[in-house]
This record gives sequence, C-alpha cells and structure tokens, in this order.
Amino acid sequence: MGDSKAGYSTLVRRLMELFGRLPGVGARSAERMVFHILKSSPEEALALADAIRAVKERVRHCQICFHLTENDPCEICADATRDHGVICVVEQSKDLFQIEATGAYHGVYHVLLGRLAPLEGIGPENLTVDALLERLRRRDERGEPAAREVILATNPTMEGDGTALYLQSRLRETGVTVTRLARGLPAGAQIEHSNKAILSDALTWRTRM
Amino acid sequence: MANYQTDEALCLRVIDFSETSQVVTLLTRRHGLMGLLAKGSRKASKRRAGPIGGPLDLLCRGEAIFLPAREDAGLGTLTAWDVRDHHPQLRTQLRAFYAGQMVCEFTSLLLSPLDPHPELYDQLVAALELLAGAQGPRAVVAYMKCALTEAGYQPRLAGCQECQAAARPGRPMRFVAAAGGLWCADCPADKRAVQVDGGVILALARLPTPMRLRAQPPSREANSRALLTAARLLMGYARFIAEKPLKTYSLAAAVFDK
Ligand SMILES: [Zn+2]
Ligand SMILES: [Zn+2]
Repeated sequence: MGDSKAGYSTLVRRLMELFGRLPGVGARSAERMVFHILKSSPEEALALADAIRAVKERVRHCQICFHLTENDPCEICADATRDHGVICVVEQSKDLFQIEATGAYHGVYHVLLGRLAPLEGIGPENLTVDALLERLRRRDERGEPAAREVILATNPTMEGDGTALYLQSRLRETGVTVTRLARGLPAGAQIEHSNKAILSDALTWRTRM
Repeated sequence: MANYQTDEALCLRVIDFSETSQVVTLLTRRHGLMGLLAKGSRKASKRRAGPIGGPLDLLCRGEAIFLPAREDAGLGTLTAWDVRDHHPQLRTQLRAFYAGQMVCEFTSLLLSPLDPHPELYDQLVAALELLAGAQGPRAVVAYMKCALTEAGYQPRLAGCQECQAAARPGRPMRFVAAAGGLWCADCPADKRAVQVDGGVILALARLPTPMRLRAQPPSREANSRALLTAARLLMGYARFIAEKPLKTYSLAAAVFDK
C-alpha cells in the first residue's frame, strides 16, 4: 500500500493526522473532516478551533470531587439541594454522567480518575484516594462527620472490584458506612436465559427480603 | 478454510483497544499464551449478544474460539468467548485480588507466546480456586515454583551447588538467580546472591503443586513469613530470567500478611 496522504500539503497532512488520532476516526473519515473544514466558512472552522482551546484552557478537575468542570467547585458540589452526606465513588467522569442520567441519585460524587490496575503499574498513589479520605475526615458545623455513606460505584470488573476492596480497607478507619453497587439480574430478566456470570453474581450478592 | 481453534482459556490481560473492541492476552490450555483482538466485545449487550458475550475481564476462565496469530508477536482474532468462571472469590477479598494479580503477571512474564503448557494451565486454574481460602498464600508460592519449572527454570533447592551441603533450618543459604541454585555460607558465591535461611528453602522444596494442595490441603497452618521470603526469592529469580521488574512485587507484603 502506498502513502494515501501523498500529494497533500504539509498543513493539510498535519490536520488529517490529528483528526485520525481521535477515537473511532480512521484515515478515510479524517480526510473527509479536513475537506469539510477546507470548504466551510472561516467563522465555522475557527469556532471549532476556539471551542477546543476553551475546553483545554477552562475545563479542569473540581478540587473537591475531581469531576470535570469549568467552575471550581463543580455544579454538583456547589448544589446545596443535593445530599452531601452520601458520596458516590466512580472511576471516571463518564460514569458520573451515566449515573446522573438515571435521575435516581441525589448525593454527591468522588471521581477516582482511574482504577487500581497492578498489572498496568497503576497503584493507589495514581488515584484520588487520599483526597477522598481527607474529604471524609471533614466535620460539619455541628462537629459531626460530613459524610454518612460512601457508595463504591467502580466497575464490576476484576480491577474495579479490586479497587472497591482496596477503598473498603482504607475507609474502615473513617467509620463511614460503605456500600457497593448491587449486581446480578436486571429487572425483567429471565433466569432461564441469563448468563452464568450474572446468575452467580446474583447469588453471591443476594439481599434479605 | 481459516484455521479456527477451540480451547479453554484464562484471560491474563485486557486492554480497551477502541470504543468497541479489546485486545486480550489469553492463556489457552492447548495453544499457549496469545494476543487476540476481540472485535465488538465492548459493545456486546444482552439484547444483541454476539458470539463474544460481552467485555472480557481479567482472570476470567472461558471457552474460546479464535484464529491464532501467524507469528509469535502478532495478534490473532477472538471470534467467540463463553465465560465459565469469573472468579467471584477474587473479587470479595483484597488479599485474594492481589494474589490473583501476582500469579497472572508471573505467568505472562515467564511464558513465550504460542508455547503450550496444559499442565501449567491446570495448575493456574487450581491456584486461582485456592487464593481466597486458607491455602491461598501457599498456592501463590506453589504456583510460582510450578511456573518456573514449566518454563524450564526449575530452582535447584536440594543443597549447595558447590559442596552439596543440604539446606536445614538455621543454616544460612544463598540463592543465586544467575545459576538458579543455592550456595552455602562457606562456599564462594555470586555477589548478587540473596541470603535466605535453610528452613525457608526446605519448606519451598517440599511445597506441593497447587493441584496437590487442592486435593490434599495440609492441615498445619502456613508460615506466612517463610512464604513471603520464598515468594520474594522466586520473584527475584523471575525478574532475572525475564530481565524485567515485576509490577506486582510490592503486593506480596499484603498477600502474605498474617
Ligand atoms: Zn465537584
Ligand atoms: Zn557449599
């Protein structure tokens, strides 16, 4: 195969290369995007450039929960109508968005910025664990612990489960109630057709009625 | 016709490759270690469950259908995956989780791609079953010894390589990774030798395989300190063989903590 980008100017080639690095964008799509930019008005094209710059310059991690935000603290941490006594711990901001979309949760969050992955060399020091512990040591104006419950909402993968176990061991000293997202059969599922892993989870994590 | 293979396998590494796919390292029972692209595995939902039932997870055991890579370093294709055991016991105890990570890294560090080791595969399955129980710490060290032996690096623990003096409790010995064997305190040995008590060597030499541990669990309590020393010795040896530090080395203290 020859170089499909041969014949393009250096600048055009550079932009194709950059688009091509975006997730889910192949060489063909990158080429189409660049042609779209070349055809569009200067305002439209530069609006894209400005939006990228603004995001990179102004979006950062909330100092309290490490969610992505333009305002620090973020809107969730600043919201007095939410229950600040319950902290839901997630691996990444993407997971927070999913939980928010359910509309079923009204507490606050803590974003770990990753998960424990010993085989990839990712340890607790690479996550926001210390900041979470610091948060849990805080007292409210009556001298009571600021948080009553921590919900561990890391992924139910081996590493997500390991992360939850690690957090559980670290949180023991704080005396806060630690819970884990339930797992097992979703509502409407039929045991006859459910997969073995899900069924065995449902048995392991069964709840009292 | 493409050369599709069916085999039982353990998943030793998972990397999210794209929004929809994963690259996994499987230890297959009869075909050895191999890298495979699991196309669409991240997108598989219960509604349109494809032949790959969902994302693959670390240390899951399952039935795989795959097209092996043409050469050692290449990627093959995983076409179907049916999970048989996702090892809930490693997900409910931190020590067991760490131990699982240790045996996982030990395996991928020592084995070469496409080199089958069905015996070691069976030993790993047995070790994983034991990790959360009373035999867990023993199973880790027992498995490490098995893996080294299967990879062709059986540690020689019978006695001093120089004067044949046997290891016994209280007699200081030295393990030389470059030679894979022991030296006593009286014989000149490599400067990088690791000091270890003869009692630890004796215990290590007598440690049965994980499959034997599973079939006939010893009733006496394991000596955690001796096991930790033995594990560190074997990890140091593996590090020398693979010329690569073990990322899970620091987890040993928590695994063998009393
Ligand atoms: Zn916040
Ligand atoms: Zn000697």
